[in-house]
Amino acid sequence: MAVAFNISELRNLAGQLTEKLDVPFNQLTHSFLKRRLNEVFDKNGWRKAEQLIEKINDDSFVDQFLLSFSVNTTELFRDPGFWRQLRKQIPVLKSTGNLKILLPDLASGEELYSLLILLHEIGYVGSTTITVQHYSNLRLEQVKKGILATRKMDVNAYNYKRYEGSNSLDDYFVESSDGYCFDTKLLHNVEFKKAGCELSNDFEIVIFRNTMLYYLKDYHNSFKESFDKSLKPGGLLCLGVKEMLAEPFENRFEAVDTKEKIYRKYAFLKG
Amino acid sequence: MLRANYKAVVIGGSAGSFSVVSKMLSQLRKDFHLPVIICLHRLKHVRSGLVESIRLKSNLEVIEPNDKEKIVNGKVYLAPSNYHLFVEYDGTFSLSTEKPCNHSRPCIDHTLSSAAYVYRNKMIGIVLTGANKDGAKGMKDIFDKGGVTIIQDPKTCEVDTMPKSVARLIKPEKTLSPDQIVEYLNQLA
Repeated sequence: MAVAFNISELRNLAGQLTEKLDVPFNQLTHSFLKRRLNEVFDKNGWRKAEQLIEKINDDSFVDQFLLSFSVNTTELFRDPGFWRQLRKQIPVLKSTGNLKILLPDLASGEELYSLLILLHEIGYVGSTTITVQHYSNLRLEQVKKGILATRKMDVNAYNYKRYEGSNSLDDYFVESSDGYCFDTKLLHNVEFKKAGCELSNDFEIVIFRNTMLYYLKDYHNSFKESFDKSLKPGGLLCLGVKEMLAEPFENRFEAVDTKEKIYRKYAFLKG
Repeated sequence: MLRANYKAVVIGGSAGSFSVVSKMLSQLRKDFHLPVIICLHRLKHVRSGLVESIRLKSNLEVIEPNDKEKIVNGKVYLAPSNYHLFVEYDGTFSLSTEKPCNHSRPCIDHTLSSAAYVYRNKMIGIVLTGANKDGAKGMKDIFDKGGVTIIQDPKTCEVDTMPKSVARLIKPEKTLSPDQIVEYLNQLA
């Protein structure tokens, strides 16, 4: 039977987690926090909030706990139209490689692998540096090994077909001890960083799709501000198709594609 | 009495429900004053089309909400394809790409349960025709919070598994044909 936290218990718990782990739990939406905490409590057979708080100095528990909060069920080439548009925009942004791309708070490998396949097929992969961040080291380790969060290869293959990729999706996967995994050959220009660390301000593309969904609206601006800071003038910000850039960023970004939610930071802006 | 206090109507449906929803929205009063939140099982890779077809006949404005969109009275909201749709305490929606539940994203249980926690006894939950058990757990949450629970009369369903699964978990307050559901909703306004 699920633990039934009320609103104030949840807020209290989120506040404690934020303070102790330095991760913004207090900015998560209520429904998401409730769902995820219920799952963790169910899994551990806990009944009281204190049982979680007691474990919080245990680093390996914390990493596993942070992993359980990440949403790991995207697909390869989710929203193929977005990826087709990005494929079109990259050469417009830069005629040669040497791109710097940021994927903050990467919930699962699928977004990264889709991006790498895209870059490979347009001949940019060797000269592009991708920075990936996440709160959980376990998640980063899984992504490094090419492990897919979900093995829905039929969905992935269908998306890839709609993306109109130039190869077969199977060309990018190998059988390994971890199962059917993304071929890590393409991962050598990817750097993995713990979320929250300082970043440079010379990225040309930031891809942050479907993660703000789990945060309160008031917190969205702090994400957007940090991406604005990380992006070079003229750089692209990619959000999920149901997320909005909105005020007060309209005078700093122009829409490249309003349906696929790709925005360009105005080239005349400094930093 | 209670009537003036309702805050939302939340509807779930699957196989066969598109035409039922479409017809219901064409018969709802133009001045219907509650938000109507609809979660239908749909093809996840067909992003557009459904909302446009439902709009054709609807008397009320039909929207596929963006994340964190405010819930407004008198509007119809349709859960977007490949996202779960949740109601939040601050009167907004939030979307999610979490794993499918009951093989579905959007999942009806998620929408109904989150609405139950926010609107409690001030809501009306409706489960229409459909071929699986999604929605039953959500209806139980609405029932437990004292909200109104309505299932489409199995005799009028293209596939009656969904309303019957609800009736196995709880005793729905009303079992109505689509026309009777509309009649009931229209007299609330």
